[in-house]
Amino acid sequence: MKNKFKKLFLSFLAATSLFLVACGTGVNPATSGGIEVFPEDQDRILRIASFTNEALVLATAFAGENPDIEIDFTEITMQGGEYQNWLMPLLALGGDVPDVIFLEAEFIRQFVESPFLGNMNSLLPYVDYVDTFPFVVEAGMHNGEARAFSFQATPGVMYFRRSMAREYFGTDDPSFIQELFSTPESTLDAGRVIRDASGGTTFLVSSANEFFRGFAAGRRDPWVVDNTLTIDPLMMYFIDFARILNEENLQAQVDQWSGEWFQGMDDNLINAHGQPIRIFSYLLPTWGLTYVLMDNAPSTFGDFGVIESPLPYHWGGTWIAVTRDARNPNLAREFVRWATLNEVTLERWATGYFSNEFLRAIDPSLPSDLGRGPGDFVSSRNVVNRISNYFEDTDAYNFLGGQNPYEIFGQLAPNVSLRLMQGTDAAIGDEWQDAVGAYLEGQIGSVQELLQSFRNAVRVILPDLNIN
Amino acid sequence: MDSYRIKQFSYKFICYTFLIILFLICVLPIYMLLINATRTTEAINAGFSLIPGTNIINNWNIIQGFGINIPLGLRNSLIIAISTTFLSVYFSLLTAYAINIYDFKFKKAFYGFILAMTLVPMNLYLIGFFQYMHHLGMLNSLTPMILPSIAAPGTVFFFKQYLDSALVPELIQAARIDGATEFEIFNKIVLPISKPGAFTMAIFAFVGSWNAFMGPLFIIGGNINLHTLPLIMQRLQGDAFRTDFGAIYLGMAISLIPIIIVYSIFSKYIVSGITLGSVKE
Amino acid sequence: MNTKNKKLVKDYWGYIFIAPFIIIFIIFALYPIANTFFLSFTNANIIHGMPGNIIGFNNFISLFNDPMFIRALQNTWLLWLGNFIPQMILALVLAAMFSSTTFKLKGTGFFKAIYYLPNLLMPVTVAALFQHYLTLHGPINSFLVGTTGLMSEPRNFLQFATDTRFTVMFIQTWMWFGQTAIVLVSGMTSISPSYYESAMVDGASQTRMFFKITLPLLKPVLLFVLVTSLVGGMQMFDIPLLLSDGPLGPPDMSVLTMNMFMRARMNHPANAIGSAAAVSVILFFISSFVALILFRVFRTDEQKQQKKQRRVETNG
Repeated sequence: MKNKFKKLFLSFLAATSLFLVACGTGVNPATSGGIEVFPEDQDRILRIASFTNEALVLATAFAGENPDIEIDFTEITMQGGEYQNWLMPLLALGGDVPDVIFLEAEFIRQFVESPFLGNMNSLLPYVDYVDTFPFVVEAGMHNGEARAFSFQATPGVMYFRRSMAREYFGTDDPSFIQELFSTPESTLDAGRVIRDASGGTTFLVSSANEFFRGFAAGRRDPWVVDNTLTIDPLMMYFIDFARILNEENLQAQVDQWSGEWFQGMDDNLINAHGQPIRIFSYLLPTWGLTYVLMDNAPSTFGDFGVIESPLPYHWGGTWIAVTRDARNPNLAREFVRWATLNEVTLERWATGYFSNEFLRAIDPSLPSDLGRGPGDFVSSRNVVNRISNYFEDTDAYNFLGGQNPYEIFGQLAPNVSLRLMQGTDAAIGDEWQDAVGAYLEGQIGSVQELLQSFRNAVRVILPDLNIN
Repeated sequence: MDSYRIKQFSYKFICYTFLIILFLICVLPIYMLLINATRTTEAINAGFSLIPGTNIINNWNIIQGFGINIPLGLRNSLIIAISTTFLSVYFSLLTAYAINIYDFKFKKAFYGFILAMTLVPMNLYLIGFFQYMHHLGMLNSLTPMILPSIAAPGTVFFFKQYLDSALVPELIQAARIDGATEFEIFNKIVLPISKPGAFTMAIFAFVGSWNAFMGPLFIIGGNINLHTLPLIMQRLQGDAFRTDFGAIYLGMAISLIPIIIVYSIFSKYIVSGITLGSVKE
Repeated sequence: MNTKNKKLVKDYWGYIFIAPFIIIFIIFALYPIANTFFLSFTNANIIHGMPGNIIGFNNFISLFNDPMFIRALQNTWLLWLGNFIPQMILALVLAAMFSSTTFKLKGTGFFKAIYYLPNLLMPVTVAALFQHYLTLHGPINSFLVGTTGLMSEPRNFLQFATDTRFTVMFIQTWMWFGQTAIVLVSGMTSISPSYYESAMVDGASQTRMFFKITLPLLKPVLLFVLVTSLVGGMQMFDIPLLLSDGPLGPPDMSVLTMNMFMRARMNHPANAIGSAAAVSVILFFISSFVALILFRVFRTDEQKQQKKQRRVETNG
């Protein structure tokens, strides 16, 4: 038996050396940028890859205005990272790649910082025309090149329950409630009031993780500085904050995106003892209103209000980029401009113009539920200011008990800064949250061990990083 | 007489109880899955129930509304699964038979090589395969999904072991004396003898292909018209944004049904338990 | 003379029959596998260019010096053995029950079919189901605390190492015991009943027959089950990943397997294909080494006889 394996190994070595010579798989990252003249388009087929069918809405509307164009669309989910892990090697290999790719906030930086996207500096003048919020452009810039633009802006806010506010604080007036949640400390105090007044059946938030983004956004240093892992003091404070939430029973121990998390929005959450429990607030961004709350909280319609989060943050958002090896670079850039830097499109997107009927009229073969309703907060300040009043008395307005969400989003968006955003944020942040979670539950005994576990984890996913 | 009957009875009682407990453990989660496919999302979040709901049509409409083309996914999955099953079982049996019956040079090295191949982890092979297919321009087509199954080392391994127990060389000699060609011997004698083993491997191959996700993701991910059911189901989860649990469960249930059908058909052949050893000692 | 020619001609068919396998393998599998071995000696990176520079055995050295890789190695073995041993016992018991000729049980086909059902589910589905069940306010906790009072306080199972590990082992056993039983049964039905008949005439008991006839004759099939389970177990990946909902098998990397470690190295943000390839190669050698031992142990008496004979022939 041993002989067999020896033979095998030798034949492998032989084979690999053969392949060394024969198959060079080196990819030479081409430098993009510089002179902005793109090769001619090869055809009128726009190849688009995305992780939801949202892209198809824009693509179809674009094709509607440009009838000679065909759309070649593929969709791969990003749930378990499939989309990114499929797309990156594909782009690295070059050749037959999509023209246009959609990128979510969670992974936009890794693509923007890679050599595989095309330069879109030619579109920068449009940023000024439509007055795009600075952070939206910031996220897509790398080494002075604009590589991605977005039609959305997604600052984060805090949605609270009006009836509970009246019960525990005597009023549901957002400006008053806002005061209660102006700092992390005051937030904790408010949480204690809720707990005591409800006899422990109502919790401030579903879990401590709701606040993570707020803390992360408020840091001075990002996770990676000079190729070294950096734990900002605010992250250490997050551990204390989370521990207080845990020890003082201010959080319901319900994970985000779990079935119970949704139940809490709709007020039919029951704990293991069979008692009903309630959740006072949810920290969600702009799209949290239309895609999460409104879809899942029919019984509590009108009982939510919105205020600024004690720690401002940003969550999600979809950007659009053009690939370096796109077959139709000019068409691709035209699509990106049309979708993200065009006030007409943005206004239509925000006001729900791209409805099912509209889309079906262009392409009857489309699925019946593709259309988008009104409410998405768009990236152009001009458009936002112009249409803010449109949202008075819409469903979203009424869901919030008579508050115009656009107003508050509009106030927050100009001040969002993404200077801390890095490609490694999602991966490192997740490991941090996992470590803190294990610590809170008792699986990890001390803060020292928590930090050690965190460092161990980061060492696996970033072997070349300096970690002390 | 009595003590024997008591023994029989108690033995059977213990056996059946054991079997039924296992039955429940296996079936309950799946039953829950099927039930959830018929309920609304709110009901699902509210808790578990053993009684079906009435929301199945609604859930189906939601799936349709997202543009999740289940019939297309079914078709793609079926084409790939049926082809790979047939190819891998037939050619693996052929190869295993060759190793078993013939004595050719390098036979030992060849079999050792096959065994070594069964030990290769699938994963990084995938990235290398992806690169290679990209270079050859074969991505986004069905060829690289189907053809490679002709070389299935694990299945060859099984058949070699199986034939070691099941195949009697005298049978082959007898057929040769009767004037049959080697091919005829394989198709008319060896195949029928191997039915239980072949159908066993066929089921495993079918299920493996049906549920495969990573392979199809990389090879045909770029062509949405070739997406298999797992890819489509993942899309449903992504589009339903974890909020339309009813639709998601219905999708899962639908992916489950074809393989249950295939399994019921195939299992008859295994269950019939053909006792081999057709040459009595 | 005649017989010798006939034999040679017949054996030529061996080449013809294995040709399809070899051709397809060379076309589709040789390059990727060889490439993997090659990459394990480089520092290839998806973004910064492949194949990168050759760095000799550095990948391997750093992996073996990496406490997290060692932990992944230990976890992989733990999770595999913890699932394989119960699975094997269960499958053997079932196979014995189903193929027993003295105590005929009814409905064995039906039961076999049901026990295989868990294997038909996609791992994603299974993981999602179990995650759903195990939350703090979920059905299992509700049952244990609310309905029956077996526990006083609910427990956030998936936040504890032992619980998560146990769940992974349970799910793996649940998903695979049916398939293992089926393979064993199909092997058992190939054992000639004449063996049992003569043993019964001699007055052997059920258990004695099982251990002295069935198990030894089942050796080839048992070997198959062992080796395929080993290979699969070393590559265990989807259940621990999907259940723990974190690429490194939280909490505290308690269900991090070698394959998950490899994926973490291969994907963003590491993009370190070279290191990932090295993990693959290590996995291969571990599997090979253990498989070699298993082959040794499970040599049938026939093969031992053959070897003895060959030795006699060469020496004599």
